[in-house]
Amino acid sequence: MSETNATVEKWNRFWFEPTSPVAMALFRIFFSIILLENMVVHLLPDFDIYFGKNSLVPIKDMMSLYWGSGSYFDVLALLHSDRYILAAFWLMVVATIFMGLGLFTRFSSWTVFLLLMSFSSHFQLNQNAGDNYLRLATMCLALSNAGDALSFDNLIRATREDWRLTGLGPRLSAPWAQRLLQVQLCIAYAHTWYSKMEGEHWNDGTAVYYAVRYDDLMRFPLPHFFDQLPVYMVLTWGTLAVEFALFTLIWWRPARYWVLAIGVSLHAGIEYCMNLPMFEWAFLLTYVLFIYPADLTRCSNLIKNKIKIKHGEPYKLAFDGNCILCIRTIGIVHRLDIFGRIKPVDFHHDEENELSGLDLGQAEKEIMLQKRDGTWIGGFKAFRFMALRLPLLWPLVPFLYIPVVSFVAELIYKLVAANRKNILGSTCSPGAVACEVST
Amino acid sequence: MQSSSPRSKYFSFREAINYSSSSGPFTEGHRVLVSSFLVVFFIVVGAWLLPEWTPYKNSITTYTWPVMLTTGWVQYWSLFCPDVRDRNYHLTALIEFADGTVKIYEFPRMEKMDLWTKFQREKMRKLFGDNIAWPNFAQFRPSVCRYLARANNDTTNPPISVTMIRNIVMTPPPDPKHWVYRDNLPQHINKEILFSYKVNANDLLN
Repeated sequence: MSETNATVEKWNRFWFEPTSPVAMALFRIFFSIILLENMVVHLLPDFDIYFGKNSLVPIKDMMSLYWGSGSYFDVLALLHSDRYILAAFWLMVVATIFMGLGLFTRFSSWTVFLLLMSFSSHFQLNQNAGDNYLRLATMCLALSNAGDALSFDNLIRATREDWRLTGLGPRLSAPWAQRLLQVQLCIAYAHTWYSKMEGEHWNDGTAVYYAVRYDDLMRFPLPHFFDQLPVYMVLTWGTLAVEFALFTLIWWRPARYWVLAIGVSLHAGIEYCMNLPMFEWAFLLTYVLFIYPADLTRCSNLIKNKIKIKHGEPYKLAFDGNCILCIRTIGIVHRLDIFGRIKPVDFHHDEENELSGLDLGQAEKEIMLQKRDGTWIGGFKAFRFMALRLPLLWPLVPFLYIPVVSFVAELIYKLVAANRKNILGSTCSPGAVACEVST
Repeated sequence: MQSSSPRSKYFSFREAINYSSSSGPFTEGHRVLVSSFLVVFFIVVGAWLLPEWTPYKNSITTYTWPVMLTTGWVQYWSLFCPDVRDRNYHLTALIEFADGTVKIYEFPRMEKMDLWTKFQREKMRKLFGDNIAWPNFAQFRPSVCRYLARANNDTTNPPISVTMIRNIVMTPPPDPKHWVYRDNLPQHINKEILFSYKVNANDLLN
C-alpha cells in the first residue's frame, strides 16, 4: 500500500509540482517562429496546389482515398470556397503571431492547434514527422501556462497585480503540459532508436553513408577527408548511442546537460548535411524545456551582469511605493526590462542615498529617471529615455523621436497620468502617502 | 527616507524580484482529470508505436486509432529507419495530346534547386519524392494525372493520356576500393513506368 502511495506521490510530483513557466514561455516564442516559417515559407507559395478547389488531390479524393472511415478533424472541409480556406490560413498565421507574443495565449494556441490539425487533414500528402511534432507541441502549448511569462498576457496581468503581495517572479504552476512535451520528445527518440535497431544498415555501420547520399535532401557539401567509411561507421553507431541517451540518460540530472549537448551536435550535423526544415529546430527547441528553472535564472542573471559590465549600472527609476498606481507601473516596467537595465527605487522606503538630487514634489507627479550625469528626468522624456534602453520597447523608439509625435506623446502622457486611476485602478495601500496624481 | 507606513506584510522591490506566487496546488479532481488524460494519451500513442509483431496490436489499435485521428496525436518517427534508402530517384510524366505530340513534365527535383528554393519547397519533396513515388500512395496517382492534364489543357489539342515514370538509380555501396564520393553520385538513368492514365473530358473541367 505504501509503495502505491510512493508511486502516486512521485507521479504527482513529476506532473503537478508547481514550477516556473519561463522555459515553456521561451519555447512558445521561438516555436511560434518555426510555425510561421512552416506556414509562410513552406505552405503559402504552393497553397493552391495543396488546398485549393483544384488542388493536386481535391478534398473529395482525399476523403475517399485517405480518410476512409477515419474521423479526421478538418474544419476546412466545411468551407466550400477557396477564399474561406485562405482566410482560415491567415487566421492561423495571426493566431500564431498572437501565440508568440503571448496575447490571449491559450485561445490563440488552441486556434493554431485546431487549424494546424485541419490543414494537415485536408492535405495529408505533404506532411512529415516535423509536422506531427509541430501539431503535438502546439497542443502541449495550448494546455500549458506558457502565457504566464514573457507575454502580453503577463503584462496585462501586471496592470491588475500588486507585486508587493504576489512577488515579481513569474507565477508558478503545475507543469504537466511541459512534462508531456518532454516525454513526447523522448517517445520520438525511443521509437526512432528502436526502429533503427531493426535496420540492417544501422547495425553494419553504413546507414549514415546512405543517408547523406539522399540527393533530394542534400544541403552543404562534405569534404572528401570526411566522406570515408570509418567516419560513417562511427557516426552511424554514434547516432544510435546518442538517440538512446536522449530518452534515458536525459532524465538523470548529472548527465542531462551533457546529453543535451551531444543531442545538439547530432541535430546540427543533420542540419548541415540535410535539408529538413522545421524538424531539427523544433526538436532542438524542446531541449529548452529540459533546462532546470534555477539554471535558466542563472543564465538570465549572467546575461544581465554581462550587459551591466558593458553598458554600466542600471538606471534608477524613482517611484512611490505607497501608491498602487505606481506599483503597477513598476510591475509593467519590470516585465519589459528583460536585461535588467532599470533599477526601481521606492522613494518612500528605500535608502536615501539612492535618490540624491531627486525632486520629491515632481516624483509624486510623474515617473523620474536618473541619467548617468546624476540629473533626473521625468514624464515622457523619462519614458523615451527608458524605451531606448529596453529592447522590448525598441519598436516604439523611432516614433518617440519624431518632433510632432513627441509633442503629442507628451500630451498623451499627461492625459494618461491624469487618468491612471481609470487605467490601472486607484486603490491605495494602507498608509499611502500619495495616491492622487496631479498634472 | 524610511516610511512609518505599515509595510511589514509587503515585499520591497528587491524582495519581490526573488519571489513568485503560485497558481496554487491542483485539487484532487483536477489531478484525476489530468492524470486520466495523460494515461489515455500514453495508451493511444503507445499502442500505435508498438512494433508490428506485438501480439494483439491490431485489436488494440482498432479502438485507439479513431481517438488518435480525432485528437491529432498521429505520429511517425521512422525517418531513416528501419533502414535507410539505398536509391535516388525522381518522377517525370509524359503527357500525350490528341494530335500525338508528347510533352515531358519533370516533377520538382530538389537536387536541381538552389539552397533557398530547396528549403522553401521541402513539402514538394515529401509529396512527390516520399509519397506519390511509392506503392503506399499509388491510389493518388489518378488525381495527380488529372491535375497534370488540367494544367496542360489546350481546348484545340487536349491531353489524352498521362504516364508517370520513376527515374531511379541505386546508390553505390560503400566499397572502399570503388568509393563514390557524395558529390559524384550517378544520375537517375533507369526508368520504370509507374502508372498510365487515360484522360476523359470531365477531367479537364475546372
